[in-house]
Amino acid sequence: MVSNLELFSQLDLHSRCEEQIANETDRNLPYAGMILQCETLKRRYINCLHRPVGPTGKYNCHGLTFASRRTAMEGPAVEKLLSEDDYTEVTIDMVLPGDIVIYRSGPDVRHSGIVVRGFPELLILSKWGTAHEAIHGVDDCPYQGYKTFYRITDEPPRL
Amino acid sequence: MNLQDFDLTGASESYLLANTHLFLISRLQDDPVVQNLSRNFSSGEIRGVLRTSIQKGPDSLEEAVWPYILLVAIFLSGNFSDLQEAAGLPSAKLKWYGLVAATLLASAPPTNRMVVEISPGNLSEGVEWLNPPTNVVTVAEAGGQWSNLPTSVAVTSETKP
Repeated sequence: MVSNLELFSQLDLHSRCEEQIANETDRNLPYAGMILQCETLKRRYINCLHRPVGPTGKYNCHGLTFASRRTAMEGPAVEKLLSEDDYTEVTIDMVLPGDIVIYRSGPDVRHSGIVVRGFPELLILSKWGTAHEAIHGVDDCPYQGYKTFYRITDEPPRL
Repeated sequence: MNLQDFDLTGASESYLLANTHLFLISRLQDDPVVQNLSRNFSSGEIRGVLRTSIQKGPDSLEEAVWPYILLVAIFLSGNFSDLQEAAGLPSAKLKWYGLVAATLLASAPPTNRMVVEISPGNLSEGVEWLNPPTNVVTVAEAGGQWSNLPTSVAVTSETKP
């Protein structure tokens, strides 16, 4: 492990269009009390499969969905990736494992996850903020809002 | 006022679950602890506590969310100048402080307060001196325009910041 890393830093992360995507990884150790709060969430969401990963600020839900768990991103970065990585919206009845779901509230991309079981009984793999990862029903999580599903496509590059 | 005096369970969960700073702001604005703080303490008092709280990096989840609680409480109090001062505090150990402060500043109507001393001699022509119980009124500038001026007085250039 490299030990001279900054507590907060940005990785080189590019879209398919080779544009830098804003991101930040937080290497602080989990604060006291975080594990207890995670346990509270696990008791509240008893139908979810809570993965023994986290709590950590090194990546968030968007980092899991778009950046292989390496960093955290905010809403504008997600919107940029949706545009530049050739994602196409799919209706809920067409959703397949491997598609992604975005939870929006107003202008904010509040949450995202990867579909691991498709329609009709959708299951999502996502990370809950700084807390742990969970596999959950699309509405069985702490995040509300308008949900949109996307599939990455293999369109010709836009030059 | 210190964080041990409050039940920060809800706010701590909001911080833990926040994927974005907008989520954190939204949840804290609805948090009863934050609302009570903004009602029961002046924005100046809250800013003083905030200044002290961010000098040391957080060791616990509650210490991590406490500065954001205070910042949002200042925002809810509506004092733009205190919010501006709070936004300028050094906060390198807090990952979202700058973003949260900038977002709150952008969504707050700029409001400045000014005390105006009024006497019969500096009323505009045609304005009647109504013998008010005090000759000092506080007016506010919201969104770049003076508002809340009592209709019975008119203010001339003699002002006291």
